[in-house]
Amino acid sequence: MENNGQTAPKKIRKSLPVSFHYTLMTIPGFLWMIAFSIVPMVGILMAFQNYMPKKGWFGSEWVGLSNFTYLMSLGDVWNIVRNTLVIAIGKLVLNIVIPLVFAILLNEVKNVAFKKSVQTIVYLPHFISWVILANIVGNIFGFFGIFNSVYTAFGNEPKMWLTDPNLFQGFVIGTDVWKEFGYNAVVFLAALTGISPSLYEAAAIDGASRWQSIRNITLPALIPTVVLLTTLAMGNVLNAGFDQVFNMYSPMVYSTGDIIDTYVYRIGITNMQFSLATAVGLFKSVVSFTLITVSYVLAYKFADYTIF
Amino acid sequence: MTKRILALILALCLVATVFAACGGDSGESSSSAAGDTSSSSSSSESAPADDGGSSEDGDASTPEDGGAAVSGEGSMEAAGLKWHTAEEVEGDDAPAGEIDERAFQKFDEVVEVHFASSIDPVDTTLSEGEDAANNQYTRYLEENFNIKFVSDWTVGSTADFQQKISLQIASASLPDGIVVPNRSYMVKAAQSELLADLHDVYDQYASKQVKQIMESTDGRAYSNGTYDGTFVGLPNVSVETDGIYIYFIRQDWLDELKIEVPKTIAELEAAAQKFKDEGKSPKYSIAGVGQGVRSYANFLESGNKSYGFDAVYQAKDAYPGFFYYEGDELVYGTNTQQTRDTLEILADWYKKGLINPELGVATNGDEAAGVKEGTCGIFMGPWWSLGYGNGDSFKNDPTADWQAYPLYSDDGKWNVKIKDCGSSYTIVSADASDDVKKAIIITNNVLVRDESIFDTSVAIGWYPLRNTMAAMDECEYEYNALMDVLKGDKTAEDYNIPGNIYKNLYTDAVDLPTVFKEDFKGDRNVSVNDMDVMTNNGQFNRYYALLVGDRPYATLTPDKKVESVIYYTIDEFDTYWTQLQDLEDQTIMSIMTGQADISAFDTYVQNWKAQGGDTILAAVDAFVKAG
Repeated sequence: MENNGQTAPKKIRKSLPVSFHYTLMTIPGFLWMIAFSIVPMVGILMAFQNYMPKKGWFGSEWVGLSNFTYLMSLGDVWNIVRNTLVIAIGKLVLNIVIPLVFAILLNEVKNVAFKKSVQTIVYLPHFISWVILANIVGNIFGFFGIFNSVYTAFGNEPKMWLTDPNLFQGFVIGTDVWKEFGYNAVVFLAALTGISPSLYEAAAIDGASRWQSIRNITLPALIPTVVLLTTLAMGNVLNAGFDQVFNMYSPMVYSTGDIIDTYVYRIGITNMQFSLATAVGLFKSVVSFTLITVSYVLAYKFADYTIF
Repeated sequence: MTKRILALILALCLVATVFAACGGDSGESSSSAAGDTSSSSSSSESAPADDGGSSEDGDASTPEDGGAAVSGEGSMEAAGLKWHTAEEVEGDDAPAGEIDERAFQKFDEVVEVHFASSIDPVDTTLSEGEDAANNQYTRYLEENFNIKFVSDWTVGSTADFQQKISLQIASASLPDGIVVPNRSYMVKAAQSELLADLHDVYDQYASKQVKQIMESTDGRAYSNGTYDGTFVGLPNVSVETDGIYIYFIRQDWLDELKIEVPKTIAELEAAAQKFKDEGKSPKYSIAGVGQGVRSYANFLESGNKSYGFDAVYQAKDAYPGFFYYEGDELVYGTNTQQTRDTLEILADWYKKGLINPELGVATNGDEAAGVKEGTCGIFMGPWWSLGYGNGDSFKNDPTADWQAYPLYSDDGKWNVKIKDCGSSYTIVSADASDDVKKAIIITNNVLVRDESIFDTSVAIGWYPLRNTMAAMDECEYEYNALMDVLKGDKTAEDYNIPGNIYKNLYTDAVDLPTVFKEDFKGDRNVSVNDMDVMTNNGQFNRYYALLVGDRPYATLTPDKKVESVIYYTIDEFDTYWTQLQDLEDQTIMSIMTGQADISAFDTYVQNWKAQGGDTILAAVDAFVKAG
């Protein structure tokens, strides 16, 4: 894409044969996007209707913004938005900071065999579905789980960890970071290999300590990657992770654990209030869109970095 | 070194717990499957056919009679519609396995019916190459009646099934026929104008048996299946005892510890405490519900609640989840002082470690693990929870003497909730042709009539569009009949009546010797020690459910029966119900598990009223008073 951006207009015809087959290669992606992201956009209409399946998108009664005004009047909504933001931002920040630190640390390891095996092992949980992982977490932190055995060994009373509303958000964020940090570190590791060794050599000749070269060479070199990942992640800021929360939560932790997606599921699928559920979903998309635009502008202004 | 060993042990434990979870999973699905089977075989009993009619049928009716016919105006009125009663059907229906000109007619041409179903993913009863639309039942229907079933889709779990139905309603793409698990799907589909009017075709072609069962509910089945003046769903009718909640306890432990059978809440608590103190139940003595499950049956899911605490609520005269009148005032049972009192007791039990601490969060059948393993001696549920519901506990310990008892209030009253007459509905797409509608009605007639002659080694769940119908008192009738046989007052042959109203009875009576030990003469209550668990395990489970699990309801009369004035949601619920239900579930579970103080209950009641509860109460009140 950057190539296209840099191509001057008069060269287009000349470069067409070269870029043409690249363009062809994007067709499957485009088809996918049209089928699953653009066509379903019609469904947004439902948010402004009292949707009746038989009448369809064009025959249902129009109700203007009443779904939204009703949504705002519900006591739960702000609580749910807050939960979503807390969980999503917590994940967003920690999913960048921890992999970054981990990647830098791992990069300093000289033993290649050790480095590779650690990298592979921490990478593995990424491939386990939340359906399974939520059970494992439930077993470890359950009343009769291993964690309680250790906890009681220190003279404490056993407790139910996953039903405590004060701890639930921490559990969601913590387990997600644990699952994903190995995977997220890969991007940083790739960026690290791109740093020219001559910089480190020059620093060594100048008598820089290891810490100094990390601070002055490694970190600055990683900043564009951090900005890129942060901006891309901003679009997901209201995606707190449906499958994770859905498999871990219970009515006891609705007050802190219920997120927009689980709420939409309960309204839309379980209670079949299609229009209201669409309104919630649209509301979420609009907020996400705003956030990604803002972060794009900020990244351009302060880091002088264009993402796309 | 010790550290390493410790680490190794911890790692092994982790692996073991993971596998234990998997094990629990399969156990759960088999036990819930057993639960299904139980309610199915219980509800699979045929309707009380007209006795005189059927014996007459045996000797007098001839093919030349021309079979049965329905004509003229129907005389019965229900749900604002007129219906022909079973008596008004002239002539008799064909006997089992045969065809006639009306309720069991064979189409001239093959009629294709598209359907969708939820299947049992671990079922092993089908042969190689068979599936939902190709098995002995579908072949039977095709060969005898020219009805060919085509399966549009299948899913492997109830939750997926419900989700898929919601989506199909949303996209207006329902198959010809489908059995929806509760009335709200029927209503939503009807509101969306997706459903066919079944009144005329039902009235014309339903068999006598089917009509008798429907009539046995005093018209309630008809009004349940009617939305906005149109009969759009054929409701199922299931045994009443599916909604009678009692408690189950290890009698052998009681005897060993010299405890009298608990009658009241306080006595049950004492027994539970003793079980725990004496090491019978080292972890907890009372099992509780699993993840996302309410601790009581509510008006929408009024039957077949396993591991809930309904028995305790009822003993406190509390009926959470039901709408009912107290004097002139309509109340929602959850919001009453009685429910609050019960919650205090349950929270106290939880705090004392009597109730499973993983209440409301146990997954994959872990909520039933203690009962199966023999480390938990008390749980609650409907009749089939014993035998069908906990078959594994007898396999693990053939002397586990579970017994069922009602829990009485302090003044000695046995209060019970009464469930809706059925919960699932067969709905038919508005696009279906008249022949398809007729075929669906006939398919249902055939199930009710012929189930007794099917070889049910292939799970009856494979019958297409199976929506069970049974006489409401079937279990109690069988209890008394089988006890008579065991006592020697009757013989199995006494029940060998072709076309008998309780069609599983004869088989059950004949099979008694395969399970019961010879020296058992029915002179005392049935216990596991009188039975052989393994030889005929299927029948063992059934007898245990019928003769132990249903004994309280078969032999004792409740002092108070409470019905919900409504068993489905009406329009006004749409706006508020999700929020109110969330609020209710969250509060009740939090109080029970000690996450919240009992004062949270009062806040809940205020919020419930303010957030739309008052509107709903007013709407229900108006709806009921309007009839």
